[in-house]
Amino acid sequence: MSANQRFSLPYSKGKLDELADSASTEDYTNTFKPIKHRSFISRIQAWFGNFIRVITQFTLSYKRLTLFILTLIGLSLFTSTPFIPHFRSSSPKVVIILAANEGGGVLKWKSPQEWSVERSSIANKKNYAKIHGYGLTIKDMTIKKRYSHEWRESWAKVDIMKQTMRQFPDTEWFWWLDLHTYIMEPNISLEDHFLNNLENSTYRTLDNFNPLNLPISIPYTDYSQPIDMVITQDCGGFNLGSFLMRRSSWSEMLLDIWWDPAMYEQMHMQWEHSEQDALETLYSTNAWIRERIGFLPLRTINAFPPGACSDRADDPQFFFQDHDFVINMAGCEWGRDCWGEMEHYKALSKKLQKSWWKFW
Amino acid sequence: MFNTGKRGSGSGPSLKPRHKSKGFLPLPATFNINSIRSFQRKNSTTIIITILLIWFIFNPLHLLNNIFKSNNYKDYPKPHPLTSIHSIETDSKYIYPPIEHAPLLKELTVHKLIKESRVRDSNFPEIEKNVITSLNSFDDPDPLIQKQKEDEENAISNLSVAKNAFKNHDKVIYKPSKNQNYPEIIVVSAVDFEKYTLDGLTKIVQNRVDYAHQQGYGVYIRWYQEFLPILNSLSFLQLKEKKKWVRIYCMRAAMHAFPESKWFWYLDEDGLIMDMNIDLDDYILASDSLRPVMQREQPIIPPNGAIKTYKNARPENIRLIITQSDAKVETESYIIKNDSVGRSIIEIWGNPLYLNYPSFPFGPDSALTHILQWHPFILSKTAIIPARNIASIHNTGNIGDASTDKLHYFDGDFAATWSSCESPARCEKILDTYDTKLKASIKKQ
Repeated sequence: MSANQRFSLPYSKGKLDELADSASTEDYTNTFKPIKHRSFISRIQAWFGNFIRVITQFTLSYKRLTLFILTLIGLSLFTSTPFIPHFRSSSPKVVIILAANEGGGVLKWKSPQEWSVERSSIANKKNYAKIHGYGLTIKDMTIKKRYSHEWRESWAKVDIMKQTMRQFPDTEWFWWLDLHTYIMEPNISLEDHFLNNLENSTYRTLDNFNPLNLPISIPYTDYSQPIDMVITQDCGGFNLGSFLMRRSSWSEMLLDIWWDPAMYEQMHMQWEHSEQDALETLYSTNAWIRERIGFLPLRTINAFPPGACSDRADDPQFFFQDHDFVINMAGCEWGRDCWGEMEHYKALSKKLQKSWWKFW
Repeated sequence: MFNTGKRGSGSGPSLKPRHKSKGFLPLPATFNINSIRSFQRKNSTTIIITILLIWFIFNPLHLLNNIFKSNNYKDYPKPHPLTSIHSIETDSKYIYPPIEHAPLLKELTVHKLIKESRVRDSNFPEIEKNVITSLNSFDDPDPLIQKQKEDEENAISNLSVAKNAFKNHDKVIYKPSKNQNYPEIIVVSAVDFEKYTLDGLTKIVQNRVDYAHQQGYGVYIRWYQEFLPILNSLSFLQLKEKKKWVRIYCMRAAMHAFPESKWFWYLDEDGLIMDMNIDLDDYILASDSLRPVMQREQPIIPPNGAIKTYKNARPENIRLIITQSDAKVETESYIIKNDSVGRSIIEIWGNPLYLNYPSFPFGPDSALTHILQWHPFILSKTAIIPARNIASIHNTGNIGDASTDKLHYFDGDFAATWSSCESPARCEKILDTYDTKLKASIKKQ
């Protein structure tokens, strides 16, 4: 044996062909370059192929186990069988509460117009909720003999709010809408409209607009608390036709305290608008209520048609202008034509939403 | 032979690298730069996509945006005390009125300490209403000018000194230079200069301050008469049950004066703390201490009311701790937590509609009974504990058994109360007996 054979040095001997042969089964080449990276897609393909292979093998070798797992998944996703964890799509951030069927069939027969108004209003909210992934719950406001005396009959708002908060345990915001409202700009989301910038879009003190002449400042009010309720003021005071409430211990407490028999007994002659007036009374005396209520300008979520607030008809801050978000035909059932107004704003919304490239 | 020999053949061509992906020769000198460049060229797409993804998910500009937004917050007025929009800051955690003014205040009479006026409501012009306002409403809007004015008045007469101190006491809030020793628990009382003598008042206030000093708590004491503007009727202070409302309004004022404290204990003027060594936190307030003493399924109206406290109430959720006599809920000694729910409970409780409701015979006691019976949310945050824990009632005559009696005072109890005493003289006498008892027990130690 020569020294050369003992210490194999193929490159010095020019035996490159042999070297190539021996390496042909391996993953390297004789080009003296580092191995090229496989392309990203081919790696994914390889990985996916592997995955499929493993799954197939597993399925074939454990047929019963596979069947069992598939059944479990099926039950979990498509049924509500107990004792099985259910994966639900995350609950909506906002739930719209639509008060429908007000007085439904108890006080009088419902006319075809009323049915039509109801259908349009519901379809409008359904469409809006679908666009933005909000929840929608339609609550029946039929007058029921539910309470032992007539006192609480028209106070269903509080009960429905509580009920909805139980129904959607993970939702943060609840938006109450009366039946005679119409969302004119369905493409605006509540987040973009004001929820993401709540502090700046609302006002909390009444020094600029105070139609009820409530006390401007009461002791101990701390405005550094977060806003848990968003309402509007019209020409006659608070308007609860369209308002929002955030789930919190504050709102739980307000909903609990809102109707109180001792207060009601003393005030029910003055509280014509039940919840609304009670809230005004609480607002004017209790700092904790005041701390967490923010006011939006009426037109932001609750614009009025010309018929409402007729004694302040010259004040543009109340009345609908093109591209306002929501119209509230407040009080249209008292001597105005609800159906006519609804049809008008429905058509207007359609016209305002029409894209410029559509000619028909 | 080296390792090639062990692999068997020993001949040159069979030489294999140990690791598949590694070159078997040292890298040529030119390798580094070129290969890295080519590597960069090929992966630049990946890198750009990764950066875009990170940008999309974390969005660093978002933070910047937030900074700009938060700067635009509107400037809302700060919380202010009951009768004024100004505050006077103090760094002493013992806030009490100058007790030595009591004789001067008595000489001035209540009528000089407040402003009474008759007004007509614009909606009901036939009805005249009496309105009581604080003298603070005549303050100069500039607190500095007001201070000067008061200093001039004070230099002339002692009565003005007492009057101005009385009027300004509402504005006093605790503001320490350092937040380190902020008291977690505040003992709150209201005292009446028309009921007790100077001597008695001194004993009562000294008792609270001694206790707070020993335990590191704060003290907040007010004159009963300071709350006339909210009671809005001079007669309320003469009526035993109506006068109780001050307990609630005094508590709210205390929460304003010590905004960072955690618990507030109201002990009425007809009461003394008899054991200075009890730490309220270990004794009642900590969850583990409250759990065994809070009474579950206890009727709000004993002995057999329909509405009861919750069976599964958790001590961590408790905001209001009260006691009961054998007939009703009592408020001469109660504890409330200083958070948003606790403050709300106090404000609901002190609602003017409850204050003036004729069907509440026992004032705030009836109001609280009503609240607990109608509002489950507040009931779920309330604990009823046996009276002897924080308010042992003065034992008149027939002494029972200390181990079974849950109401009356026995030696060694934490606090004694005598709110049912008939006349100021009698109250003063009971106060004296407890005070001598207390002094004797302190001497013994």
